[in-house]
Amino acid sequence: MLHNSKLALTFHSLFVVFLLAPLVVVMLVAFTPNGYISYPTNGFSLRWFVAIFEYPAFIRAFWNSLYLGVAAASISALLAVPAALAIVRYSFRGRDALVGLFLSPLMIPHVVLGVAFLSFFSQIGIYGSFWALIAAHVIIVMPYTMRLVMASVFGMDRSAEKAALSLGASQWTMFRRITIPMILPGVAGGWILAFTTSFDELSMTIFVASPSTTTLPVQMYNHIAHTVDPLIASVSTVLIVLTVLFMVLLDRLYGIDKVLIGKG
Amino acid sequence: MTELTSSLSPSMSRTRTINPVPWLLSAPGAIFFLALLGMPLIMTLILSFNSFDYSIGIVSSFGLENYYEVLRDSYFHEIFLRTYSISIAVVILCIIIGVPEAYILSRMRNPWRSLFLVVTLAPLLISVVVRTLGWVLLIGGNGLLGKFLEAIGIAESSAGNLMYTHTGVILALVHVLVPLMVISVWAALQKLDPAVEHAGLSLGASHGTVFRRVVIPQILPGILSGSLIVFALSASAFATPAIIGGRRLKVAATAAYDEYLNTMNWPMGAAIAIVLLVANVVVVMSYNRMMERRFRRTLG
Amino acid sequence: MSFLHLESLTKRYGNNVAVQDMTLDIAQGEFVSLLGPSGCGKTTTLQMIAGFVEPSRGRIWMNGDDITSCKPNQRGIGIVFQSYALFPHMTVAENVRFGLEMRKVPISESRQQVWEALELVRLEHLEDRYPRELSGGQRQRVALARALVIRPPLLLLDEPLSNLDAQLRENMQIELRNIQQQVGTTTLMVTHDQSEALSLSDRVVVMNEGKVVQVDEPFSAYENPKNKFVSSFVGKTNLFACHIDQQIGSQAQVKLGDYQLEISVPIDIQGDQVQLSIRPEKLELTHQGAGQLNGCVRTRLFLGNHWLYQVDSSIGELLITQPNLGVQGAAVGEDVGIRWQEGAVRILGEQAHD
Repeated sequence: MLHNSKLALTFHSLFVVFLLAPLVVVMLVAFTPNGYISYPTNGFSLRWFVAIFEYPAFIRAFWNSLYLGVAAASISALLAVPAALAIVRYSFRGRDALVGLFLSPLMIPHVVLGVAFLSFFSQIGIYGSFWALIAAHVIIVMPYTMRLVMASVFGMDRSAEKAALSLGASQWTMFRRITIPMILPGVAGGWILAFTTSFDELSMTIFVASPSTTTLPVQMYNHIAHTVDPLIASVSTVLIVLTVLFMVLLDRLYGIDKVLIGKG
Repeated sequence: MTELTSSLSPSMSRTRTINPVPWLLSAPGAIFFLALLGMPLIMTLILSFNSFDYSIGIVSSFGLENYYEVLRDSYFHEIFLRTYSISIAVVILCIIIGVPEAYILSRMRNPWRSLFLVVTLAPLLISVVVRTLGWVLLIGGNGLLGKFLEAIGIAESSAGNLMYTHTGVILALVHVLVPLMVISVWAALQKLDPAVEHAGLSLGASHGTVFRRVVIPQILPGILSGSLIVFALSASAFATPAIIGGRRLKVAATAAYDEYLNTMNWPMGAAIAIVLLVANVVVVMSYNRMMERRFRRTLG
Repeated sequence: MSFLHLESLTKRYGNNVAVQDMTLDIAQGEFVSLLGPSGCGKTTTLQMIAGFVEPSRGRIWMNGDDITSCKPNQRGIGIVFQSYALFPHMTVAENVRFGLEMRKVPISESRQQVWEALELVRLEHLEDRYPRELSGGQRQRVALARALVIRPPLLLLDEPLSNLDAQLRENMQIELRNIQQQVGTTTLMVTHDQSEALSLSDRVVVMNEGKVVQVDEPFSAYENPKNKFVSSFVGKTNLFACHIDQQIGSQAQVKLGDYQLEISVPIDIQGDQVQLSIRPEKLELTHQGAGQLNGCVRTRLFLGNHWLYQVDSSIGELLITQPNLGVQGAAVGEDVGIRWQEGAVRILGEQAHD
């Protein structure tokens, strides 16, 4: 085991401060008792957390984002599992092109996707519907689901399937009882990564979301573009706390490093 | 990804006749993508050839005038130049900060290593809007940075106001994207055999020499792929430049947004988007080509 | 009538022939091993019997029925895979029960049968563990219990011991042999490990390049290898090319260096260019001049229960093993004599036997 020098540890400390400072500042400002952006030097107050409930727009946007994330992640998993099975297990003409197609949204700037969806949805007359938003998010999250599902299909020991057949299982029983449970960790990891990606997406969604289908990031962006006040800090704080809770849960259930590595 | 698909055995194709199973399995996803990704992109391409009249709106004609304007007008030149110079600065800073940090992390012991790995990567799951808001509070008019500078007597508090400056945008983008560089380098470091470093030291090299001559060459693919991700994402970033750069420091993404939602000049917005897309694809493609050529033999 | 009958079984992949014209009979209750280097077609043969690979030609008969085109899930054959292929999301008991579940055995009966199967492999105390919580040897035994619980007419073992370390492998060999004799299931094992094949099987099928080279009881295969390939793949041997000077009936005069050798020639040897084979353990070191040959010790390795010598002699380099009888053997550089019993030398045809 090699050790880090003092210099390295100083660098590391500065890095951690750099990484966490903006988040800490947001959480501090959220507790201010004042009516403007300031640090809670004269006592902590929860008034700005209470204030969130006086702005139903944020609450509505939060639920929109939650439904959207669940729907997009689930649909992408339903599309990705059969496609990954086909791509990993069969060799056929156009397989590489298919992989390219499913991973292509990673290469396309989200603003470009937003522009494209905006004109497409208004052209075919579904602009502003929640279904249109879901469809757009499925496209965006699909590469993440696809990568993790493909990796788990690829890593699966196929002799377990043969064992099931030799023990008398039908193809369908084998798929249901052996294949699906064995690739489930990958599918779950893909789903979670897809959900968080969808939940936080702004650059594309801002073109496609209508006032009735506004998501939380869009709502927050619009608020900041208009005014920066302690309310937005308290909303952000709630979001940070929820994210951290989610991560702790995730780490217990699944191992957070497995999910995060897929992001890169 | 290439390693995943290229090493697949073709043994599954039992016969030479076309097997419909893989097609049926991938059809739902493929149709979904062709309809909902292919069509909108084609439509945007067509839209970018149309023209726009402030009194009538979109005129469906066919011409390259939007592209002429984007590629000739100094206003757009400035925007694209700014976008890419910011991106390059962000990439360089991410390498300077992210590579040593990943290396330091890899040399830590557990539980510190897992803890700081999560601390480094966790911001990725927190909304970009929240992270950018943090920078607004830090480097804004009445922000902590100014107060800090004043307190230690380096400069007046106004020097800490970096809102609407290149420095501010770059700083916030580095904060948003540096975890991706760390992951990328970290993944490369995981493949490194620690005994190789010991071998270097046993042969009389100093720590610095070992890092430069032994470690860096092996994690270069990780650094390069991290740079690619950071570059592509900062060139197309929207939230951070929009909030910190504002109207004064427009980049390609925010310019397209303004053309669409403020000026309502959709054809011009589409042209900017297409230029941004093509530039992105060219960078990614040529990078992949280069990687394939350079690393196929040494680090297959 | 044999229990398992392979009739001209052939598998081609494009222009490559993986298995060529394989014909084999296995009797009820017999333990047979397919032994050969990797790529010799032994695994393909197993996969064809299991039903995972479709033969290009030939038929497979089991218990009088033609099962060539039968689906793998209708053959009822028990298989132990090289990777064990345990279901990672099921406990030991659930793994073992799976086959019974597929046969719709009522839970009350299946519980008893699972218990018996686990008892057979001495794992009844681990029934609630998951595979990842087991050691390699334990996983191996779960895989065996899972294959045996369905009372298969035929048990296929695909390199069953290759993932275990040396010590464990020896223990498992004994256990596997005992279990097989106890349940009496007809068993076909694929292996590249000659000692495993020799120790476990009633008969060994030596394969090379898709073809059966020799089918014999382990002792006969070792003592009377049919050709050069078998003699060097099954055990170690010293091989020398030589020339038959004179042959009367089945007795031949062969010159080995300065030493004149009289040897009996099997009838199927043709031509006068032959190989002589003599196993390292059939040679004995003695004083110079006291043996048939003289030599000088070049290398000596101590291997615990025996020594391995490399000796330079007038006919070339010889490998010799000597049992460790508690006294120091000949040292490096020492001049020695080499002695062997009449009949220890085997004569082999020059060409691989077809």
